Amino acid sequence: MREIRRRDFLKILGATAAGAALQDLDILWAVPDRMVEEALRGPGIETFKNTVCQLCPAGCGIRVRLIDGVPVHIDGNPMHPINHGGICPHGAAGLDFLYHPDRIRQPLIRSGERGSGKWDPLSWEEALAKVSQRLAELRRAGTPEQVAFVVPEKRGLLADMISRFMEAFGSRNLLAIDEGQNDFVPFELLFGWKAIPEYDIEHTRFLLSIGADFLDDGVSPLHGIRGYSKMRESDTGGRGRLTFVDSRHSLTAASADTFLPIKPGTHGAFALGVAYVIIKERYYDTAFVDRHVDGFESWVDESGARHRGFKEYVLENFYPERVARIVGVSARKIVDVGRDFGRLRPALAMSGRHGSNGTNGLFNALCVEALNVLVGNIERKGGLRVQRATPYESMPPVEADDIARRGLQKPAVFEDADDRYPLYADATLAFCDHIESSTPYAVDTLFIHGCNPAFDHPYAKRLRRALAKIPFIVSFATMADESSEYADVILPEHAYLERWMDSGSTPGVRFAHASVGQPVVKPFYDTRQAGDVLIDLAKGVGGSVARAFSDTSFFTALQNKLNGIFASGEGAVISGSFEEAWIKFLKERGWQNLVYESFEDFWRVLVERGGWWDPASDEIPVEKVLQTKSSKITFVLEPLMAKAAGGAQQSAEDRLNAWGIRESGDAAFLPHFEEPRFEGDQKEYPYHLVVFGLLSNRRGTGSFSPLLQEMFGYYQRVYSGSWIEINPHTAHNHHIEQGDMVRVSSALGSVSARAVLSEMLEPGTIAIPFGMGHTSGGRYAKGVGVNPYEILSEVSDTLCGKPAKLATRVKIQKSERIG
Amino acid sequence: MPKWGMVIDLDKCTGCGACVAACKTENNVGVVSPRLSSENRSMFWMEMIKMVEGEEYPDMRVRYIPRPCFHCDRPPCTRVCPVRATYLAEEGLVAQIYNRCIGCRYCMAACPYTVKVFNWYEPQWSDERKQCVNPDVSLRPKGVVEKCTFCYHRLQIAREDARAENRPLKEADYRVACQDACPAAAISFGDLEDKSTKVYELSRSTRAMRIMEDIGTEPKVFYLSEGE
Repeated sequence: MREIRRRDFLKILGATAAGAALQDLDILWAVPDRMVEEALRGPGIETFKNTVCQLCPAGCGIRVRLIDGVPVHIDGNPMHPINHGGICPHGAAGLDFLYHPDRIRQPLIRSGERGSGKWDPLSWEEALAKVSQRLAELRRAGTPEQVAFVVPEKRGLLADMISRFMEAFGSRNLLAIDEGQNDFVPFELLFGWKAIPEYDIEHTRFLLSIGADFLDDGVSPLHGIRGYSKMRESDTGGRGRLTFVDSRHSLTAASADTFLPIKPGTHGAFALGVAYVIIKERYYDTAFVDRHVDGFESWVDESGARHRGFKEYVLENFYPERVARIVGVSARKIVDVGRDFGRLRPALAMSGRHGSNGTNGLFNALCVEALNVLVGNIERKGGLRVQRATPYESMPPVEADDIARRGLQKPAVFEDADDRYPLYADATLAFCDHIESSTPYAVDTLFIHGCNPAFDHPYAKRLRRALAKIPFIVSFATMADESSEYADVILPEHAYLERWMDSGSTPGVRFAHASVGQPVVKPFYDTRQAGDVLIDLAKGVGGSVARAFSDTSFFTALQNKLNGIFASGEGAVISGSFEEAWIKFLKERGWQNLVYESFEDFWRVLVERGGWWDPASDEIPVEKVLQTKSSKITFVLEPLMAKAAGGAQQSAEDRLNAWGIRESGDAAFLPHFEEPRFEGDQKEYPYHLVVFGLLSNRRGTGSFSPLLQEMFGYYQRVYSGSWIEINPHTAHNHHIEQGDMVRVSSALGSVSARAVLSEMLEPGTIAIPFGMGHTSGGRYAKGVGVNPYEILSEVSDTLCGKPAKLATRVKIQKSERIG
Repeated sequence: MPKWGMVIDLDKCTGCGACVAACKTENNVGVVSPRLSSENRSMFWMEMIKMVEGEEYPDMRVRYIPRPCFHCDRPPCTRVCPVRATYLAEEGLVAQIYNRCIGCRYCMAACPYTVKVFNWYEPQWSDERKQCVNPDVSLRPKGVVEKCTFCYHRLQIAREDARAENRPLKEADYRVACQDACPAAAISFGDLEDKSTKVYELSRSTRAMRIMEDIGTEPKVFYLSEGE
């Protein structure tokens, strides 16, 4: 490299001033040639394009700044109702993903062993022919069920198309592996809701988050942050307070007015302690509870048997002194929280994330949500608000042919997950078991889209073993990652700023909404939209699969889907916050909102602005909003009761035992506290491991970006590396100081990283962030930091099979070696 | 003449780090390799600082606060610069002239808030990523000190636009990158001496405070403490 001395430097500067020899500049300023050319040619015209961020499932609207067509900066879309112009670090670093030097540039076929990283390029025609031939052969052989598809979750148009493809093909092996996919279950059990409701943080005066790290690792963190920010303003009925209860001191804890560190997995007991105060001191909404709640008071059934209700159960068992012993927080503080929750209205309790990541997670969440029931916090300002449906146009039903019909009669390989867990089973482990044992049949071909199961799942180890067993794997990855290493063929998708996309409805958002993502730049490489590839594959396979896709492209399918919104005449294309009042005003007076002459008009404005919403959803009375059979909130978990009674071979008691429910009698079917179970001998492994997520990394995808990789531990000032959080007292006992290398070991292995002394971490807890420790994923991700999932035990929530990330015991040791 | 300043509402800030990331991309701040990063060579103009209050677990409070350059009215850094590469410019911005900087790093030592960073190495941009650097901000060579400029390039552009339209500069014209990015709307920016601006009002509220006020640097970044 040429060295530049001060004299050269001045010479070049002089040259610039003279307006000549601009090319010389790139040596000094490292401005890319293309940029220099455009600076010479183009006038530097600034444009903005709205689209939707696809880097995590939150569905925020983004605004990309382009200079002469080159994107140079990403901000939030100020009109978008989910993030209101805000952005998160992940979204702000989006250009790193688009311009990543290690993107997959054309279809690839594996030429070496799996994991060897040896690939041959392939034309799209060859690649599609290869995959569709294999699929067609399976159908010819009458075994379409041997095809499986792994997706993160079933949301958005592409997910609809994948479900459709699988149905028309004749396989039920569509597996969603997102750990959060069952987070709606507590709401379904209590209220009959099939989606996570919105926590109306903005209007609450006392927010009690029990384990929900919503500012750092929520479902839609920016929507939560926005609500939190509004809550802190005093002009909306007084400044709202936040109390956060968890075993790790997170960003949410740092923002809270009060943080109460509790022992891991005891979130449910804490909630019941609060419930005790509310019931005992009669803060609960008696009118609401009488009218809308079953199972609160004890009752006598038809046979004359007396049953214990929630009230009696709580008053008998969860007096503050006992709860204090379970959770490790003084009784005084529990009573204070109970009184604040009872007195301040509206008060809102929030469950999820860490609280539901133990073996008793579902019960913990139920106990927390029971607090909202006690104060009548349903469909009220500052309470739980149910999500309004978006009027999408659905595709006509699939007409399956004979092959597909026979295939669909075969069970999914993971079907016995429902026997393992009584409620809404997470099928990931069942999937792994059956792939490994090739029962009830072997899976021949697996498609992976939108996720990286070999890395970003707590059971990644098991998933890797399963992947290794499958003969033929097709990946849609834009970047090489741990899972695409197992692929035989990679059909690379466009990067997120190069493709059309919708994001479906974001969970935890009250109003009906839809976001549309337009391509901001032309695709750089020979990649394709995954939806188009699916249509091409369907055509290649023929039969009912080809007939299932009448749309010629993903783009037309997207237009068809959103035509439903246009036809409904509801809501409006997003246009800025002042419109909300205006739309409501019009609607109240019986006017229809902005009407577009034609779908083309609607579409043009929709794409330009980036989304549609309906803020003027009608208020729904509580009876209507409850979708349980009795139209009441029920504290008696009937589905669990039915499952317990349903076993012919086993008694109900045995079944409860098998599901890890130690409570007996009526209490077993109430929202109650179950002791969390931990893997690992307490003597040898004295500490609890907490694995937490970061807004800047999300599902390990942040590691692809050099910027996010560098700022991974920005708030602990640990740059470009993992860290291990230890309470200073604990660290002192092990002679560990800030910055020392520490080894954390479980029965399954160990990881080493720098120690960060975290003053407010519960002393019996060790915390490690998830995201780093990639063994693939391009030059920035590979080989940096550690992945705590590698030492997690394979334990699940005993009711729904959700991975129990808080159930592993570990030991720590100061390590001399760096690595 | 305006006097630019910033107010950060700690009651709204969640420490999410959007400002940190947005600042780096907006200002083309280089990313260093993990090895150099472990040697403290990472460069951040906006950084998250940990504050611990209280002594004994669990009766303590730990907070994270974002820290840009404070653009002090009496900046200690400018007095030590032997070549006047850093100086208090008009309108109260503490400027840094990269091609005058000789890399002595006296200013880094003098800054009590540790806001300045030094380019120890040539910035590492991949050929692909180089294509989308912000053309409004020059890339720095190695051997110079840099820091937060309050997105001065945005002021230049905003002023040109206003002049072209023959109107005075409005508050909404000059916004800084961290302010745009903040999902909690915790960062306000504007003319501290113009009574019509939000920062004027906020910087004079009872919640407003400045860091290490007693050393007399008179920072132009105010923090709003929690409470009503």
